[in-house]
Amino acid sequence: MDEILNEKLIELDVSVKDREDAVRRAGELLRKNEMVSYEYIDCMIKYLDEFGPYIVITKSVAMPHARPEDGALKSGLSLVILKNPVNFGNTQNDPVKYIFGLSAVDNNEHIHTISKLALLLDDEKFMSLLDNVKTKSEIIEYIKEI
Amino acid sequence: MLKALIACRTGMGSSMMLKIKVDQVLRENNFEMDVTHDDINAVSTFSGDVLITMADLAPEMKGRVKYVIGIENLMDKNEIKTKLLEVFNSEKK
Repeated sequence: MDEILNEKLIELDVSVKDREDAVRRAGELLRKNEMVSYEYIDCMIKYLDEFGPYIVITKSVAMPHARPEDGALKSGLSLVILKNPVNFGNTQNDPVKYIFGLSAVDNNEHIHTISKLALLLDDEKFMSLLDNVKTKSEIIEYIKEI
Repeated sequence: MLKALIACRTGMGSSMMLKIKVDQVLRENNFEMDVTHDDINAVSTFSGDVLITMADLAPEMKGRVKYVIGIENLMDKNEIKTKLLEVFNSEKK
């Protein structure tokens, strides 16, 4: 699998005070890698406030994002793993421990990124790796292998 | 063939993820359904039979489309399959 994540786009053991803080951290990673603008992060938070629970896509996993026109510069993903899971208000899938920040420039590139993410989230080995991960390179190595 | 719209609020993230999973379920079970995805505003011009969306959006969409399916866990193919089967079974009656 080609790279949808690299070490610069991953943060482990992150302490946050609430869901907004968690989403912001995932957005900041995208911004530091010049994939989104500051405005994009604000929009991620805005959608979180408006739609809250809906960005939680499966057990323990949130996928915050904004729209391409909100300041997406390059398509891709970031991953923030929380030290202490936080609630997003999604009764079925809370609490959230893994935040996959998504940047989408256009629909096509975007399908590619999301299909890769779907494969990973479906992969029990990958999910149990995330549960016990110690270093970012373990995640990168695993993604390279599949 | 039943026509379905998969929609989330922005039409970008969740609906795309849900479309990938719904396509898998359709393929694996030989279910026939014509599926497109868009943002939730597309519901107003949608003339098909089934709306598939996130569970939290489903209640406010009830009545806008003949069948409204709300999915709790986008990655759970069993949940998607069960809810699609309910639609197919109602159609048979």
